[in-house]
Amino acid sequence: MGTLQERLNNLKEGFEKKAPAEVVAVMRRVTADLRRSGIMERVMKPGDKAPLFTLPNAMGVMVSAADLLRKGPVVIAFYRGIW
Amino acid sequence: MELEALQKIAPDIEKLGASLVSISPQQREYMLETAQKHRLNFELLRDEKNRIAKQYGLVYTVPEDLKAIYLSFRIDLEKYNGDTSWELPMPGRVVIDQDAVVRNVAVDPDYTIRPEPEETIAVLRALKEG
Repeated sequence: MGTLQERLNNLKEGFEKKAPAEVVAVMRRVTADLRRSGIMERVMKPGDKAPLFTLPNAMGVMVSAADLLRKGPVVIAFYRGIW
Repeated sequence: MELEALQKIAPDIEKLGASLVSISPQQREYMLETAQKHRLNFELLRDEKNRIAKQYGLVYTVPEDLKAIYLSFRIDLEKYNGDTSWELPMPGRVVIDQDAVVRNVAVDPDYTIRPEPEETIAVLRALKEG
């Protein structure tokens, strides 16, 4: 099984073996460009006031961070999508 | 893969008195599909046009050449997200405490790098112990 990162590394290795070299090259360049863009300096940091949210869940029901925080800390996993 | 790993620690997160949510720009029908595919029972919240992810500083635009590659893999972000921006959040995990202060941020421009679930548990445990 290994750690999550080990499993992700295996997945990446498998993809890079079978994907066309030019596809892999573009993906690597985009990641490197993003790292150089300065985006990491704009990401929220420990100690910052967290932007709160009220967003619909999969059933369309609104979920508010303020409500969740009444119970305890909140872990947010930002996720790109099912694809 | 990351969401499934988080599902496994969801009971531990709950035991520590915390909540787990996922935030994504994809439309609701894909949230349902994601939840079923990975058997998730935590909340998947829809962040239309990445409005919240932008406030966390996580959003970038997919450049044209990568967009063409995504489309060749039938990954049409306009279809999934319901907007034409081709913007995505960097995958990241954020822990906020009860005073709504950010306590931990794990994010990387390389989307294949993700924090281990155990790191998040350790952050919550430290928060609880004060």
